[in-house]
Amino acid sequence: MPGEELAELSAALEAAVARAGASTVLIDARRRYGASGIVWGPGTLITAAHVIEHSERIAVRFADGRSQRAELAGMDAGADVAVLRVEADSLTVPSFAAPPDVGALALTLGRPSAEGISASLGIVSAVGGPWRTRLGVPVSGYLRTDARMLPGFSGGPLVSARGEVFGMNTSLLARDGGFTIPHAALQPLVESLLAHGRVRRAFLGVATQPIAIAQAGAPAGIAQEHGLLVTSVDTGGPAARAGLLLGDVLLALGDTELEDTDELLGSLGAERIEVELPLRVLRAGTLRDLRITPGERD
Amino acid sequence: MRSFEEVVARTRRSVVRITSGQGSGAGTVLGEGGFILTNAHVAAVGPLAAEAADGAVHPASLFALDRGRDLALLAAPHLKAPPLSLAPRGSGRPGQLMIAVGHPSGGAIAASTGIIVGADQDGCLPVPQQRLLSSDLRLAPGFSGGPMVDAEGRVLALSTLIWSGVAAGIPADSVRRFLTEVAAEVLDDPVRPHDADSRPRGRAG
Repeated sequence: MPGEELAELSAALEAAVARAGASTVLIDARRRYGASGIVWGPGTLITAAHVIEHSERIAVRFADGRSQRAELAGMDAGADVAVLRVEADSLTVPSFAAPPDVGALALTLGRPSAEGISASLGIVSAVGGPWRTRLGVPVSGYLRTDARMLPGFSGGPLVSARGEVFGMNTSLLARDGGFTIPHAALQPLVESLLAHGRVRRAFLGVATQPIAIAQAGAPAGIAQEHGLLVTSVDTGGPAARAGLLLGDVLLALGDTELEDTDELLGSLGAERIEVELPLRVLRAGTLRDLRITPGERD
Repeated sequence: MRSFEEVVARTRRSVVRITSGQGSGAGTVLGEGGFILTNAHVAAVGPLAAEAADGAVHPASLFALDRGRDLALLAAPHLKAPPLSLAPRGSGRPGQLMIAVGHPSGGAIAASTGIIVGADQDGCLPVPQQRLLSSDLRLAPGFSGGPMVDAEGRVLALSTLIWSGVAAGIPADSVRRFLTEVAAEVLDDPVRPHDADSRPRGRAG
C-alpha cells in the first residue's frame, strides 16, 4: 500500500467488519456455543447445515441485538447449507462481491455470542471448482482463505476489504481450516431449498470411473482424452431404461463432455430431472448416441 | 505512519526484555522516568532486570503488582527509552489492525500482525476475571508483557496469553484503571511497594 497511511487501511478494515457485521447474525440451534449466519434476502438467512442440531427450536440474534425464532426452510447436509425464514422485515441485506482472485484481502466474520461481531484477516488463498464435498455432493465453486475459522464462525461470511460478501464459511467441508462456498454457488442451492425444502438433484443410476479413451479402443477423431467407464447399472434405473451396458464409456451428456465423475455429478442439477437428453457413449470401439431421461435422486 | 516497518521501528525502542528469577518476557515502557508495564506472571519473582533496545541492562524493581489483572509496574530509573502512549478510551474495535512486539523465547525482538478479532469472545477465550482483547496475530512465549499497538503505534493492549491459537491482551482501559489505582495508592503511602494481590492465575506465555 505504498503512499497510503497504515491507519487508513486499519480504518477501512474496521469499516468492512462493521458493514458486513450488520448482516451477520448469531444462530442458536445447537448445544454448545452459537454459530453464525448471513442475511441472504428479505426474511431469509443462510447458515451451515451442521450447526442446526435442533431444527424445531432455532433462535436468531441480529446485529442490533433483537432476537427471534427462525423457521427452517430447508437444509442440505451434503453441501452443508441451511436456509432459515424469519419475520423481521428490516434486515440488512449485504452487498455481494464479484468473484475474487487469489491474493485478495479477505475477512472471516462470525457472531458466536451476544458479545458482538468477531473477525479475522487473511487473503483468498485458493479459488476453484466445480468440486465435490467430502459428503459427495457437487458444488460449482469454492474459495479458501488463511483467515481464521474461529469457534462459532461456521455459517458466517467471507468478505472483501470493502465488506462485500464473497460467500459462506464452513468448517465441516474441509479437514484443515476454512472453506467458503461462493455466493454464486450458493444461489441455486438456496433457491432449491426455499422452493422445495431440499436440493433436488438428477441421477442416471450408474456407477462410473474415469478411463483413458486410448485404452478403451477409441475410433479416430475423438479429441477427448478421458471418459467414464460404466462399472454398474441400477436395475430399472434411468440408465438401464436407456439401454446402457456395463463396460460402456460415457463421453458426453447433453453438451457436457464427461472426463471425470465430478463433471457428471455437476451436470445433474434439478433442471435435468425428467428431461430427455442425448448421451454419447463408446461401446466396443464404436460411438453410439443414446437418449436418456434422468430421474430424481431421493 | 505509512508502513508496518515504521510502526515496528518506533515501537521496538519502547520494548524491553524483562528477565526475572523464573524466566523472561517483554515489558512496555510507559511514561517518563523508567516505568515499565508488564504482566504479573512475567515479573512476580525477582531479581528483575530490563534490557533496553540498545542492549543496556538495568536493574528493575517491582513498583506495583496486580495478580488479578495480571499486570505489574516496574521501575528502572536509569532506563532511557521513549514511552509509548495508550490508545484512546474505547479503542479496540473488531477489524482494526494490531501489531504485537515482543521477545519470543527470550531472543531478539520480533513482531507479528493481525486484526482485532473481538472483545471477550464466549467460546473463544477463558476470561472469568476481566475482558480481554483478542487478535488473530501470532503470539509466542516471550511476547508476554509487550505491547499490542494500533496502526499509529498506540498501545491497544498488553500481550498476555494464547488460547486455542488466538492471541489475547489486557486492554488499554484495564491498564489505565490499574495505573490510576497505583497512583492513588502512591499518594496514600509513597514508601511501600504496592501489591494489590488477588487470586493467582494460570498463564501461558
